[in-house]
Amino acid sequence: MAAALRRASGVVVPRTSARVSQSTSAAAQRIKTFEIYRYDPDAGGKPRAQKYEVDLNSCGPMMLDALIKIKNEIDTTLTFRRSCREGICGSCAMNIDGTNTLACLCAIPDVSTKTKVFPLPHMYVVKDLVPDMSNFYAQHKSVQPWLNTKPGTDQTVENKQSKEERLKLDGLYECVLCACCSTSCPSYWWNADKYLGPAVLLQAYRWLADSRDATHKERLAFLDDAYKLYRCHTIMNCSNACPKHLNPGKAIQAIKKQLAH
Amino acid sequence: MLALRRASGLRFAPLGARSLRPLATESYTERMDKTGRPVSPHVTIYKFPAAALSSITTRITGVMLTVGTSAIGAASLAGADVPALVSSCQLAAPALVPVAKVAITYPLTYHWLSAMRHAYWDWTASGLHIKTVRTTSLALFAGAGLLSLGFAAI
Repeated sequence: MAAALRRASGVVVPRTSARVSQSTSAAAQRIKTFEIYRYDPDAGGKPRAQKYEVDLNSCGPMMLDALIKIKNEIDTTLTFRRSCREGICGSCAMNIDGTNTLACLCAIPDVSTKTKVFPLPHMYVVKDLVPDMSNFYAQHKSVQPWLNTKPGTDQTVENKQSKEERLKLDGLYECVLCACCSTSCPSYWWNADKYLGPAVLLQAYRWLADSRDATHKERLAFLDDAYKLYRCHTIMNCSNACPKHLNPGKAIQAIKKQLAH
Repeated sequence: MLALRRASGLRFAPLGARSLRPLATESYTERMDKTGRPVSPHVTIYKFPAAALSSITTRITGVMLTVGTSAIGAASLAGADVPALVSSCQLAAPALVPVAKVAITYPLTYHWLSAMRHAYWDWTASGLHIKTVRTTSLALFAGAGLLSLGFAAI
């Protein structure tokens, strides 16, 4: 804004005074256009793109702030998932300007450009930005995302790990299951029925990497499948998309390596 | 109508709700397709990073090489003298020779280099930090360019 003002007036204005004038002048709006995917199952018909204009001077800094502002002030029918607004619940995953990310962790792109918002790619849309996640959750469940102890293990005492063993879980356990990675993966787009996808495979590896788990062999045998695991072609869209900066692509490669050795 | 249904003891369930019930033989996709829900846009809207472009180039060059070698093999089997055909093409359009050479050497060298990177990934499960993958992807494009020009110059 300050830069635009300076350019328009042809005068170099110190930053502080520009900020003061902007808060006092009603004309100094920073209008940003958002083009959002809309689909209403009750109205029927095809999905469409709808444009909304928001003054960023009265909006929070993140994409989720803009969406909430649109819903509160412009169009209450706009539908999306959100909860924690701090990247820990994984609800507000969507495709913003061509990349999957969490809306709450994505700063609103530059005011001069139009920002396009889509639901997570290649997912069945329930309404607007809300995709059906049931397949994703069923796949997660299929890898037994819990600790399997040896039969007869004393459950009343602590199941200890060394510091080194615990360290192996860093970068794996932090996943919030937002599905940004899985829905960025072309292999998952074409084989969602059979390929488990990066998020679920990262979780599968989280339990393979756990020193306390007693079903390592069974877990590997379950994954040793042309589709479940080997549809991964190391395209690496998953690791590029992860809003938590995890590396599912590397975890999948680690599973393949364990199976090969 | 409703009274009739109640009287006859028939349970009413809308078709849509019935089709949502999963069957053992039905895949998730088949089940969802029946709901009429649209599939969200994917390839056309995704901003592919260099790593993804490098991956799809591996696939495309692989297809080109397969089709090319198969065509030469099939032509030879059918009795064509492929070396003689190549010579006559060279004579007919000498200006196109360097272009034709690069059109063959680029897919070949790119696919080789990419296969070597895949082998490295499979053996070591390393070199997979996103910055490293971006760098090696750009290096593949550039390296294949230099090598293919070199081979074409022979």
